[in-house]
Amino acid sequence: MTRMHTIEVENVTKEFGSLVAVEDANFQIKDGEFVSILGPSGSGKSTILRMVAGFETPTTGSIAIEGNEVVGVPPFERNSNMVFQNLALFPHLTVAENIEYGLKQANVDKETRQKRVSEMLETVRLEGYGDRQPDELSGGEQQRVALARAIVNEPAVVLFDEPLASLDRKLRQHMQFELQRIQAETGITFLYVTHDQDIALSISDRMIVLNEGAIQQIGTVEELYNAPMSQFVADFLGDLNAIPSTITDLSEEYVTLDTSEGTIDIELDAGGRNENLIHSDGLAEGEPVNLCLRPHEISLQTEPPGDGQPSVTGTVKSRMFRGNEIAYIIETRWDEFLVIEDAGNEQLTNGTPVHLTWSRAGTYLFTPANGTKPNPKPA
Amino acid sequence: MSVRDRYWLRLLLLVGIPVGVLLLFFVLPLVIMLWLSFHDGMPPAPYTLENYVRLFDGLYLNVLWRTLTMTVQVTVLVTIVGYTLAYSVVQFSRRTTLLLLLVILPFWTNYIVRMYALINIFQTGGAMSWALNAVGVLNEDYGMLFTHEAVLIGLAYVWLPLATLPFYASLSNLDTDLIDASKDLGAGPIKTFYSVTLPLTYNGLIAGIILVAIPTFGAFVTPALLGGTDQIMIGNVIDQQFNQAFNWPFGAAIGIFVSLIVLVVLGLSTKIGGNIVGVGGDQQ
Amino acid sequence: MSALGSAFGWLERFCHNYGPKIGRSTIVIVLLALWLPIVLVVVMSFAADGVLSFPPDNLTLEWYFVFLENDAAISSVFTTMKVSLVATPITVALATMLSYGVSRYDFRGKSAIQGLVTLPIIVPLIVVGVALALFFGMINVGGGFWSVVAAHVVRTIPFAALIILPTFMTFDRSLEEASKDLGANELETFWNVTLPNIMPAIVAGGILAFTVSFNEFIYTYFVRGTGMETMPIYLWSRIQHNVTPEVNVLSVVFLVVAILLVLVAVLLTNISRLTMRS
Repeated sequence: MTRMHTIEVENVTKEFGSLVAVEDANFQIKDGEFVSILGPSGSGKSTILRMVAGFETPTTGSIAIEGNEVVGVPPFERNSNMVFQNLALFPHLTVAENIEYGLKQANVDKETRQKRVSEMLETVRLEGYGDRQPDELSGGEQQRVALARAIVNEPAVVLFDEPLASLDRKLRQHMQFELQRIQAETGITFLYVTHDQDIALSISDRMIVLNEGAIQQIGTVEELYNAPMSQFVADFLGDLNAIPSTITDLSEEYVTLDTSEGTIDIELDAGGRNENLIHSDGLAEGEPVNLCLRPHEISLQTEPPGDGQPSVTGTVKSRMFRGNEIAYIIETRWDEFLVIEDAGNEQLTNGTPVHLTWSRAGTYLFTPANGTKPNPKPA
Repeated sequence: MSVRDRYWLRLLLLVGIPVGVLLLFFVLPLVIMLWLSFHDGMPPAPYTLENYVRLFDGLYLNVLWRTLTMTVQVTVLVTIVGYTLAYSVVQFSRRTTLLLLLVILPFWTNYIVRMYALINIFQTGGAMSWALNAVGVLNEDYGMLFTHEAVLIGLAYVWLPLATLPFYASLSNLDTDLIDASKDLGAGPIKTFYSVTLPLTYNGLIAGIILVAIPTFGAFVTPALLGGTDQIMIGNVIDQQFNQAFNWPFGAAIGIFVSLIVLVVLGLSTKIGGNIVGVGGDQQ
Repeated sequence: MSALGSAFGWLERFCHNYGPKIGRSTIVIVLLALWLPIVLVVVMSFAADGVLSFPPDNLTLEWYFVFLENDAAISSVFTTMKVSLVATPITVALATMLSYGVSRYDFRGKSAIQGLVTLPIIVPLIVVGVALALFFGMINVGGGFWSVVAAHVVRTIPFAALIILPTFMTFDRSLEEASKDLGANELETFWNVTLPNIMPAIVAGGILAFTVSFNEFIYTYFVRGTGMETMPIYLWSRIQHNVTPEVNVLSVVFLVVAILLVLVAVLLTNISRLTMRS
């Protein structure tokens, strides 16, 4: 028997007037999973979360929690709890009363309520804070209260609407570990919405990448980072440098690209990775394509590479020291490229003409997003 | 003149003149009124407490009781309608500014005009009578002028816009996420209302209640125009004492008595959290 | 218990489903109730048959001409204008001085002064009206023009101060410091820096003060001598004695003036001021 799905979202579309906030979303979340919905602001990720919570109703489609259809069920009858972006702790109630709130609504008797509240305070490591008012707590402590309030009823799923966004980096990292620990301890399914790829990459088992209301890709963190299906996903999960080009020759082993800096041959036979190289079905000669390179996979050298290894040229524009790495901004004929090299390598000064070569591991070919042709700088 | 002296002189002129005007034309008249209320006739008549004792005659107790009943009824009616209105404007509508403007504009039109407008509606053969006949509820001329209900509706009509303002202010300061959070945690709209919305807009609620209760208690124009002789309130008694009976000390005593009640209510309300001076929203 | 519980659950779901509809209906109904009487007055001012028959059979401008021919009514308009036009600048000047003093100087009793300024709104109008009448009677001044103006100033100061004071409080004082740093004295600074910045609030406060004064009835009713018949007083005596169709016209004049003034005040500041949120 297959494991049960905590959440099933099927063909969900949400329109606000003429604006399509979410378009035909489909995904399932398994019991006990930690899933992130990642997307830029306005991509519809919060709308999905609010539809699962019951604050918005899908225009079409269905949402099931633990196998039960919930569209039309009001939020107060759903087995989900939310951690709000601004936390939404009740200012007129103490920490303990905030946590107790959900239990009270569920008509749990007083003795059990008190027991559960003190257990929760222990889980989120706030023993002794029960009688304080929320505004007497620090940002991190308030996060813990909001979390305790959301998990005390042991809901099927806890929904997070970017609650960590307001914390400083150090506290945020600490809270990420805490979230993972508490999720592991309680086994409750977590669905976390964020625009911050670092948070999504570091805390979740799987990610759903969203753009302009449409799901771009769903997969584990590794799948999405290493095998992005579109330039948007690749770009969103790490920086990307794009070389606009046109396919002039396409064979089983090679694809030849025509760029404004001559032709580049890309080998299509190396083990395992070539399938990810071209994602667009029906890619044909004469079609535009972007050759995309990850900053870490580019190396800089002052001499042109030998034996026909493909390369492009540029000029060092600026240099930033980042501990064990050096980030270069390279002026190329298309755009400014970000290149990251080990700090141990020879350091290049501004204005140095360089040749950029790359390893196949960090190379992707993407069809330009529909309509938006890459705009090369005039050579 | 030293810098310090100039500082104090400036302060004295800037603050002293307006405060002096208020002391002369507001505080002093009230003090004179208090002084007069202890006289048996116009001074130099002897001092007496008779004017205050007389307040507790059956006749005036009756009027006081009617005034109190009216105040409670108007306040309850205005609070329920005004709060519902403010809540709906904040929660369920988008053109908040326009709606708010439409609510307060009538408040800035002339009081007497608004009373006259209601007379047009309430009088026998007036607009209400016409409407009731038109829909077939009645088949004869109808009027409700000079009734308790006419005064009640009239006062509610006048004070509703004013009370809606503090209700609106505190409700719009209330974070909508708190309402969502409550529903998310299993509380329905009704439970959410009394466990989150109401406690968090308490100050605005009290301020609104005060803004209705005080002027209603001192009402004089509305009962005179819509209530006639049968529905007089304590304000009308003051008017009668001044303009018909010419018993100024007794009129002064009633005025002082009304002010005392207002001050006591105000004191109580600041104790329980209402902020009449700010008439603002709740701080969270 | 469970029957009660499920009934309550049903009620909660009903509120969830129909709450917004009920709320929006409330807005519509209340706005209708607030505006219908006012609209009726306007309609009746065009009624050919006069005041008593509703609905009007024919519409006419006749009563507007009758109104213009009515010396008592026209003179009440002028009296009101005179009182309001004299009282408003006094009120604005006093409220501005007070606001400047309270916001720029540190002294004890500030909150007492703010309380004093608000008090005329709180004490029932009839009490102050009677007290003022007593006061003017005792000092043998009577109910002439200046007595009525003084009453109007007391009545309007709180409204002007409620608008002007918050603006002074939130005004960026570093601008004043910059001006003084550049060599301007306090008066020059006030004139060239402070005043232009708070002018919209002063004008709005003035318009509201004028509106309140223009509409003022109770203070005037008690204070006034026989010569001082303002528009609200005239309206009051017409309604009390014999309602003539010009009363409708006079009401329309009131409505138009008051609504225009308040709309201008709203444009000059913002609506939140009018809701008395600071």
